[in-house]
Amino acid sequence: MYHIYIVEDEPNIIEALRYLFENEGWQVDVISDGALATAAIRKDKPALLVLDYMLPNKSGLSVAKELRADHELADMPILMLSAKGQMKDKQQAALAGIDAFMTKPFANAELLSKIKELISARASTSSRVGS
Amino acid sequence: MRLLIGARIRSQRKQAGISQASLAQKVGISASYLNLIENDKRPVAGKLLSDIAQALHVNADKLSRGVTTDMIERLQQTARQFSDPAQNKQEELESLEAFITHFPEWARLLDNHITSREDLEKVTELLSDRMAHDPILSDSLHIMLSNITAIRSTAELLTLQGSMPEAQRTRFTQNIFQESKRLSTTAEKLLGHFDSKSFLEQPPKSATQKGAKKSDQNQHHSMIELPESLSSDNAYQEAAETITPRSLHASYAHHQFHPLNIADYFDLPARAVFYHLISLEDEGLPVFGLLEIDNAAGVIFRKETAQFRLPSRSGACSRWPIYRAFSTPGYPVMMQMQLNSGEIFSATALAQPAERDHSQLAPVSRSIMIFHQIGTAQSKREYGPLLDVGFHCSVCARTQCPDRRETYALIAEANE
Repeated sequence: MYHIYIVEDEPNIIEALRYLFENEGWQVDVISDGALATAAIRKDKPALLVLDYMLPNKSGLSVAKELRADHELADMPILMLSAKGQMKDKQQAALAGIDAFMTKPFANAELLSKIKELISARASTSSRVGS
Repeated sequence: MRLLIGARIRSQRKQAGISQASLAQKVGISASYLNLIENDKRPVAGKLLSDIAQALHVNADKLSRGVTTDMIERLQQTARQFSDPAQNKQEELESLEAFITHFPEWARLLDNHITSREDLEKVTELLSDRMAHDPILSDSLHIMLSNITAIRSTAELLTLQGSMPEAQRTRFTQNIFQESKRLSTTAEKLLGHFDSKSFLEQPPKSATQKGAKKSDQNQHHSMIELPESLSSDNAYQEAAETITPRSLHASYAHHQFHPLNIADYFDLPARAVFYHLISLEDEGLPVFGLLEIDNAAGVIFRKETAQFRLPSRSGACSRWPIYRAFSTPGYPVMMQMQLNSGEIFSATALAQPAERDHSQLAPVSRSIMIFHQIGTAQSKREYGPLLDVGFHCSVCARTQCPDRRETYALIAEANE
């Protein structure tokens, strides 16, 4: 069972994502404040982070940079959701260590597929490193 | 060099961001008269020049004497931008003063082109900046995309997930309702923002009306910047001088504020009268709107009213008389236009061919339409036949319209 963290501040998006992920049998935690995200994620070390670009108190990019600075979380997949879909936004996200970028609005199936792909990729990398 | 004072006044006025009507009001002359001065069709000196200088916060001497110097500097600056630095153009640059003195009209034409290019560059820069950095636009789009994301994800769950507890289904339905309401509110606010005067502080002058209301009740001209070509139109000047709110009210029995009847009564060409009527404001006078287009439906000039919107660049509803008038050049088309809201507008349109530019080709032409609201319930036979119209097919709910050329946007979405 995957443990997924959602960092998002829109309640109705959170509710839809939570239902979608729990329906897959995944454990879901939610944080709506950018400033509180880093500490909680450091503590719980989820399998994947679904991170909004624009958050109250601290942007998604800043959260990602902080997490990437922590060597224990350096390989945790981060999928960014954003209403900003311009090339420069994607470039900034890539520089901040984001693994995948999805523009809002998105199809649920596409989001699930991307999450599974990121987690599988991480698992295969870890097993190769371990062996 | 008196010839160039007008251009200088216009340039200073534009730099100060003051409309022609506003400056005219400040110095106690009509907007039409100021237009003539700015086009150097009327002399200006003495107290009037001094009042204009004061209203523009510049020295009167600068307006009267600094013209040539400023123009030389502007032409020199432009010439340097385009000349090859390797070539020595110093002699040519220094002879600009002689050029301006000997060919003042050519110099003025060139200077006007430079000024309008600079104006256009400023407008383009302003638009780009607003699109890139407008916080209302940016915030609204972010909110709308969040609303749409919530609606789409939730709707997918409701549609594609087989079994779902009833309580959860109800909650998701409520969420979609909430988000839809927020979406429509934000979209309306955004539309209002686009429509507001503040969105474009420097709109293209030929196709836009200035917005502010004046405070002086004795001034009957609204804050509209009319096309500069009218300054050389004698018929327009005559209309501006003879058709006043007082003369209109006095002769109401003959024309009943119908634009064509007014033109007949004062024995003046319709186009000149139409343009003059839109600039008049007085209690009891209808609020007239106007649209002038070329035969490619490109907008040359527009003045909207609060109730009747006009296209900013190209075609609108093909049922409007302005488009029908192209079929009967030289003969007016009068009709009543009824909007979906029930409001009825009297509209008169007239297409006129331009001078032939080729012996084997029909001339290009322009069409002008003046309109005003005449009610919401009953039509008036004297204003011509009544026809349902819209603004543009994409936003018109009359789905059965025989002249429809595009699908109604909301229907298209509903069918997806």
